[in-house]
This record gives sequence, structure tokens and C-alpha cells, in this order.
Amino acid sequence: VKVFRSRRHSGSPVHSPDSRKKKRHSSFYKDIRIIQIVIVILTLALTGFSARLQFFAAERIRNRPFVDTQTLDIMNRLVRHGAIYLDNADRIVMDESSSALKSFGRHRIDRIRALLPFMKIRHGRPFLPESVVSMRFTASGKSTKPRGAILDRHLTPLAEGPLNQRRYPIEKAGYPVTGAAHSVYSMIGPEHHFNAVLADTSSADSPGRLFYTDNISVTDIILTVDASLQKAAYDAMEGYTGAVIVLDVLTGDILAAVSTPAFDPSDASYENWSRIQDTNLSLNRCWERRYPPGSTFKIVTAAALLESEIVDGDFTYTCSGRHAEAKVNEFRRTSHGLMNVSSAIRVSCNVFFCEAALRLKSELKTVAERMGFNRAMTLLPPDVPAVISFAGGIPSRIYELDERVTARNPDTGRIYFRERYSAYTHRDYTRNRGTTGRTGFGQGTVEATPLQMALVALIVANGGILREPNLVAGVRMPGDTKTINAFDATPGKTGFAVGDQDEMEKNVVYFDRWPGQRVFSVETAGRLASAMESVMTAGTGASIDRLYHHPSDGLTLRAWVPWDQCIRVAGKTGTAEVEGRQDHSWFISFAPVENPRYVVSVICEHAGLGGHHAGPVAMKIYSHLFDR
Amino acid sequence: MIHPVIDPIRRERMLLATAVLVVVTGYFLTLTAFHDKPDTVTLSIGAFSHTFHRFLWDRLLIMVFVAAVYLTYAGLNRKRRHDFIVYPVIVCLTGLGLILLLRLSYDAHRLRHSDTISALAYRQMVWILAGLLLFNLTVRLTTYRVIHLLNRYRYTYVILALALVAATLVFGDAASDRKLSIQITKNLSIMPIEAVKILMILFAASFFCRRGSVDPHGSSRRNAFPYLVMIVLLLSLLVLQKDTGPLIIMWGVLAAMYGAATGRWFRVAVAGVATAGLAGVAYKLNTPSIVRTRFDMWLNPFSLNEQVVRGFWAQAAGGVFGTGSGHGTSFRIPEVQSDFNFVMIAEEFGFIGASMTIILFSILSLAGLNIALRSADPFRRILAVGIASMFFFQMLVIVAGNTGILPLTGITLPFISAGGSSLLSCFFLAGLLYRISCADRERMR
Repeated sequence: VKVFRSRRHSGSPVHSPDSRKKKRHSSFYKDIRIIQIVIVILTLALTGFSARLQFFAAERIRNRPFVDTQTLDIMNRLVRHGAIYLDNADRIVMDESSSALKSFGRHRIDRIRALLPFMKIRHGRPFLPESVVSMRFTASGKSTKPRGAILDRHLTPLAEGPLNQRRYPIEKAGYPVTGAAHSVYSMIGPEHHFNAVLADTSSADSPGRLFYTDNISVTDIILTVDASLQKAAYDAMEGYTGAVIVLDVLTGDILAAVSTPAFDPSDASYENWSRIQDTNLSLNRCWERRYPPGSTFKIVTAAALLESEIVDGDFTYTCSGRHAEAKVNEFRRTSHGLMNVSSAIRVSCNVFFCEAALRLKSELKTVAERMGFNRAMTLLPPDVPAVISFAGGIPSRIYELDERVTARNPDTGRIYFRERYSAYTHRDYTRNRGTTGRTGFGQGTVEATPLQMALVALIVANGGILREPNLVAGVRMPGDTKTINAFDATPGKTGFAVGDQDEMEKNVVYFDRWPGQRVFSVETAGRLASAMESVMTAGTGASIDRLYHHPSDGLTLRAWVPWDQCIRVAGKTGTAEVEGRQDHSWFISFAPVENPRYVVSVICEHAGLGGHHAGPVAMKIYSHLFDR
Repeated sequence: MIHPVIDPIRRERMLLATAVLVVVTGYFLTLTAFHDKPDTVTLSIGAFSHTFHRFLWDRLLIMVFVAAVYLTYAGLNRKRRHDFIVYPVIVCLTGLGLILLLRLSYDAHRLRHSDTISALAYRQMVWILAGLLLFNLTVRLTTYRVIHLLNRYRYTYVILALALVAATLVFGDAASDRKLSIQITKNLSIMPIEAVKILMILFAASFFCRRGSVDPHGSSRRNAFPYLVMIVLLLSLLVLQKDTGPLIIMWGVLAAMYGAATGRWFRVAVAGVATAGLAGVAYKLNTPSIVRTRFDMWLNPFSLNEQVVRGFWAQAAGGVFGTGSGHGTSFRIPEVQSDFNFVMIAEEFGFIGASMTIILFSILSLAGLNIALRSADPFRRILAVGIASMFFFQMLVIVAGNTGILPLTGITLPFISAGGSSLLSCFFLAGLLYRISCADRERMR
């Protein structure tokens, strides 16, 4: 109280004259009135601006050709549900009766409808030209959302950085294993399938930030591929259209997967992304395209023959250059004479395997299915978390093309072709002996991806044991977060470690591989392997340059050098006939024969003979593999 | 001025009942929009963490709110001539905020599956309860002695404010590239800027209590130079912190208080022009860079600022009557719960709801200015002017940012936005305002 008093004393003296009060009031009233008038004016102005936005500008804003990520997201969903589709005249149409439209607001659907004339559908995803997409995501600040890297087995990055500024150090060479990603145009391949992990949206639990934060925790994906090998394989394919697969025999790891020509994912410009419509560029030939396997399929027929209990594996057949019953001609109508399995593989005798397929009937299909045909590969190890879902590759098929039937999609009313392939019946074999016979040497009703044919070679190399092909080795968790979000995994857990042990950081989790699965006996595998080696020593692949250990130059590629001074490669050439065009050139192989480590499968589209084109490409890849 | 003879207690009771009715109706309308409710929701604040069964608790939430509102009301130490507008208005605004966050938490849960987001409404409820308690305590405890005590300090407030800003600069949690909050525990962080606002208002009030024209018997020196120095000191520290929102608000509030206290509106206008010039220079020089970034985003929102453009769309979708609570899409706007509440209102309640919100804020401020007019001593008078103008300025800046009139700065909409610090400081200031309106016998002198 004393304090107040002294303060009071030093402050103002006691007062109460009325005149002063009046004066004081008048001044203060005036000032307060000014503030009140300003507040009323500002309130009116604010309300007016709000009204302007809600009435007058509304139409203009809604009709502005502008696409945000959410609209694109909805477009994606509508395309996926079939509510937006290509009609018979190749126009993009919106199905107004579709139930998918009901989930979204009317004004949003109106905006999407206005965008339909600009839209294209490629790979089941909507695609818009840049003139429509005016959003720039590269602006500084919140728009650059971090994204996890895609690493190779030695933890060197194959793709890193935020969207649209993403760097792909090996560029086109890595396209099949990285895919490509753009925030607006599209996402394809592994970038698309692993998006849930790379652009982790489930964490970031800070209350102030709803949808994206700057220090978001992202997870890196570690692939089984080797970046330098990937680059070498891409260089080896120069001048060819086709695909290369390199597998690790013991684990089934995909060491390299190359498809040429490839889309360049490192260029985020519209000019580059408009090329994605070109199927030739954006197609991943490694496991998304089926080819007739040609003579490389003879390995499957031979395996079925040797494993069969009905047909004698040691049977012989005299090749006269033509199989009369099946109306099959030998390549250049050569007559090979008396053939057994081994010699038929060596000289690639069509007539022998035509006869074999006719004798095997449905057993050929059974063995082929055990080797991976008619089944989609996941390309993932068994224990990956559920958030990673990778539709890895289309199934290779062995079926009757006559059984194509039409069906109608009940939602959209559109007609599409459905391939129904049931087991061969006895009637099919007897009625259509030509098709059945041709299947025996990979020409009839069989189609295979390059990955599938690599798998055939892997089974032979592995002594009859199949290892599932595998693209994902593990993940690298964000270093600074205590709680691991997407995965219920503990950092530091090691499954099957790849790469250098020193490089293994504590945040890296490696997944276990699939267990092996016996497909045929060791004896069968041994006979097939020695037959495949004889292809390279004295058969159709003998003219291919060999991996010669030169005393002074080291490993060189040289033709017709003594076999015992070379790295022993076992292989099978293939020349798949294509109606009206140049043949596909195939080569599947593994090396070294005495202790198989690598499988290489190559296809060069419309190149010619297998031994002339695909074989040398594979040898270049082997020289890179063994040169280290 | 002659005041009409009214019974403020009856009026207040009636207005409060109306406000509560509006809120309860809106709340249940919002609940009807969500059939696919998530089952459970986990609320964690500080060390506290609890999992609720949502179906039951969402209905209980509004009952808790109404009960707390009436308990607080019953606990107010009401005087005969107290203001009857402030409390109903803040109840209405707070309830609106609760409705929006409840509505947001469903969609955010569906979109993000994040516990923190889906518990937004619960978090807000906890802060509302704390805020109402603080409001009650402020009204009951700020007797004339406490007010007098507050009046004793001047530069202490500035020193405290500067210390708080500096502490934020040092210990701040760098959520973005700026440090704006201090992390206390995992689930609790405070925004010191809210306390800084209160401190600066107190400083200005106690400064002008002696130097302004409000008190003709005060010091004859009308030199406001120390005032200017203090403000420049604080604002430059805020510039260092790159916190533009509070900077603008504080500038506006302190200028309004200066004008109201001294009557020198010409100087205020000159200072406004000078500040705009400074901002222009900062834009040209690109230091601090945030000025240029924000201005560019404001000038070309359609190519640079996704957040604001989504806000435009949402408001445009609202129209006159709105899409209805729970039927909008503005939950997809980043940081909608703290920066874009007005957009949510404009989309879901339409132009009607948006303009009513703006008008409610201006009613609150005008009521605050009336309180200032009625109050007897200079300190409380200036204090009331500061509080009233702060509510309005804060609403003005964020609403203008949301509608694209001004560059967007991330500040909260008082009483509506999610955030404990903001709610508590707003309730404290509202409590002071309410107490000032109680025409108690005790005078300062």
C-alpha cells in the first residue's frame, strides 16, 4: 500500500474538477471513435473481399486451367476405377453413371471434366500437358518434400533427391530398376510401387503440421542391383533394342536389369516426359514384355524329357530336316541325323524337340510351370513389410491361343479380350500337332519374359534348384527418428547380408531371401549343363568370342581359343522367328560352369541369329563381371 | 454519453444461451456428416496419454463444453455494470473452433491415420477447459491491486519480451527453417510470441498511463521517444526471427494504442508509410528473404503457393450457404487447423458463416472499445484499447491472408485456431477485458 501511495504521489495529484474531466473525455472519445470507424470500415472491406471471392471470382477460379496434386490424384482413381476411359474412337470419356464419381465433390468433377480434352491415358495413368499444369513444385519452402533414395547393393544411390529435382546417376541405364517419378506427370516402375515407402507420409506426427513437413523421415530402398554392372550392361546393349538380365545364381538376386531404349528419368522437363507416351521408350522389357523364347526354350523341353516317367529320356530320333507329321521344317532344312537330348541341344535341332513335345503332351506344361511359367513374379523377398507391394512383372505363358474369348466388363460395358488357358486336353494335342510340336522349341503357344528365361538358366546352374528372383535387398531407416514408422522392424537386424560388411550401417535392415525350391534332379541339371557347355565349345555358340585368360593382357574376348584356357561359359542360343520381320536374337547362359555364379539372359529384338548378336552382348557383360 | 439503462446480467444470459444453442446445433449437424467414424482416438499432451472410444466421447465432448461454459459463467464475479457481449461472443467463437476441429479430425484421420491429428478436437477441448479456467481466474483475481501492480512496471515488460524472443531464437524448435516454438516435452511445445504480445500491450498501457493525453495530470513530457525505441528494438528482433505475422499485428496494435493515447494520428500514418517503404526496400534487397518469398507468393499464388490456391478453391466452393459442415474438402489444405480456419468456415458455412465470423470479431472489438470508453482510469483504458485492437488486427491479418488481400503470414485466428498458447493468451486477455468492464468501486486513485 505504501508503494502505491508513493507512486500515486509522484504520479498525478488528486483531482476531480469537472471541466478537466470533460476535456479529457472529449479528446479520448475522439480517438476511440477513430479506431471504431476504422474497425467498421475494415470489417466491411473484409466482408466485401470475402464476397468477391465467393461470388464473383468463384467461377473464374474454378475454371482456371490449373491442376493440383489432389485433382491429379482423383483423376488417377477415376481412371483406375474405369470411370474415365478410352472409347472405341480413342477419345477420353467420363462415365457419368459410375459410382466412383459419387465420392468426390461436384465442382471437382466439373473441373476434371473440363480437363478431359487435354488428357491422355498411358500405362493406366492420366497424363496432362504442361500448359495445363501451371503448378511449380520446385519453389523454395514447403513444396520440396523429401523423398527416400533408391540405393544399389553397395549403397551407392541410383535415385536420390526430392521429386522433379531427383538425380539418377546412371540415368537411362537404371530405368528398369528405378522407374521414373514426377510429381505431376506420372510415376512408373519401382518409383511408383515403392512410393509409400520413399515418400513416407505416415510419420511426421508433429501437431502443427498436417500434411507435409520439412524434416519428414524418409526411408531408402536398397536394391540387389549393382550400379556399375548395370551401366556396363547398358553399354553392351548399344545399338540393340532389347533387354538384359543378370542374376546371382546362389541367391536369385537381380544384379542388373537393362532395357533399351530407355526413358531418361533424370530429366524432369515436359519435353522429356511427353516421350513417356512412346511405348518403345517407357516399356520395361525385362519383365513387362513377353517374347517367343525360340530355341532357348529347348532347355525346358529337355528338362521335361529327362524328368518324364512316361517318355524315355534317352530316346533317339533321326532328324531328316523336316518333321512330316507336324509340318515343321528344320532351320535352313539341315538334316542333323541321329539325335539324343545332348546333341539336339548342342546343334539346336528343332525336329528332335518337336517330336519330344508331341510325346510329352501336357507334361511339358507341368515342368514349365514348375520352372516359373504362368505365374507372376513378385521380385520381392518373403518378409518385406506389407507397405511394399511390387507388382513385379507379368507371367510368362504357355497356353493355347485358340482359346481367346471375349468378355464384357460389367461396370463399363466395354468389350475386352480375356485369355483363358486351361490344361491341354488330349484332343488338343491330336488335333493341333503343329502348334504342339512348335511349342517344344519355343515357337508355338509359349511366350516368356527375359527374366523367365534367365530363371531357366539359373535352375540348371543351381543343380535343379529354383531361387525366386529378387530385386529388393533391404531398407535404410531414417537415422534420427526413434520410432520406426512404416516397418515394424528393428534397425540392425541382419538377414542375408549383401555387399561389404563395413558399409552396413546400424539403420540398414536386410531381408531374408526365399528358400530354394527343387524343380528337377541334380542328374538332369548336370546333363543339361554339360549340354549347354557343349553348345559353346562345339555347337551353335562355338563362334562366339570366348573369355580368354591372356598371359599378359589379362581377360580378353577372343574367338576360337582353346576352351581349357577360357572361363567356361554354358549357354543356349535362340533365334525366335517373328511373323514378317527379322528374328529375335536370344542367349541364356551361366558361368563359370564348374562353380556357377552368374546367369546372363539377353534378348536383342529383331536382330537375327542368337549366336551373332545376343551371345556377344552376354560375353561383354561376363568380361565386366570377371574382370574385377 | 448517456448509456441506456439495461440489465447486463439478463442480456448476457440470453446472449450466452443463443451462443450455446448455435454451437450445440452446429456440433450435432457436424456429427451427422460422418458415418464412418474411426473407432478409437489417442490423445496425448505432455506425459498424459489416453485412448478414447470415439463414438461415445464425441457426444460427451459438447456436453463437457457446455457444462464448462456455464460453470465458468456461474463462477464469474459479476458486477452490476459489466459488459454483456464479450463472454457470449468468445463462447460462440470457441465453440465454432471446436466444431471445425472435430470435423477436421475425422477427415484428417481418414487421410493420414495420425493419432495427433485425429485427437485435435480433444486436444483443443483440453485447452478450452484450461482457457475458461484462466478466464475465470483472471476475472476474479485481477482486482484493482493487481491492476495497480501491473501498472508499476514498464521497461520490465520489454526486457521480459526481448528475453522471450531471444530464448526462442536460441532454444527454439526448428520445425521449419524458422524457430517459433519451444519444445517442452514430446507432445507439448509453447509459442512464446503469445506471451510477448501480452507483455507489449501491458508495456504500452503502463507507458501511456503516464505519458499520453489520457491523463492530463500525468507528466507534462509527451515525448514518446522511449516508446519508439522499445518498439523498434522488439520488432527488429522479430525480423531476425523472420516471424512476420506477429510483427504486423504488434505494429498495428502498438500504433493504435499510440494513436488512442496521444491523439497524434498523423504520426501513425507517417509511421505506416515509413514501414511500407521499409518493407519495399527489404523486398528489393531480398533481406530478409522471407519478405520477397511471401510477397511473390501473394502476387502469383497460382504458380507459387499451392496452400493459398487450395484455400481460394475451397472458399469459391462455399458460395452463399456453404457446402455444409463435414462436406467440404478444405481438410486437404496444409496446416488448415492453425492457419486456414477461416477458409474452412467460408467453405462449409458459406458467405453467411464467413461474414458472421468477421462481424463477431468486430463486435468483440467494438465492445472492447466501449469498455475502454467506460472505464475510469488511464491504464485500464489503454489496456482495453490494446486488447480490443489486438483481437481485431489478428483476425484481419489472417483473414486477409486467407482471402488473398494481404500476403499470408502464419498466425492464429483468435479463439478458433488449434493451439494451446494462442487459446490461453486470448482467454487471458479476454479475462482482463471482462474485468475492466466490471465497473468496480475501487479506482486507481
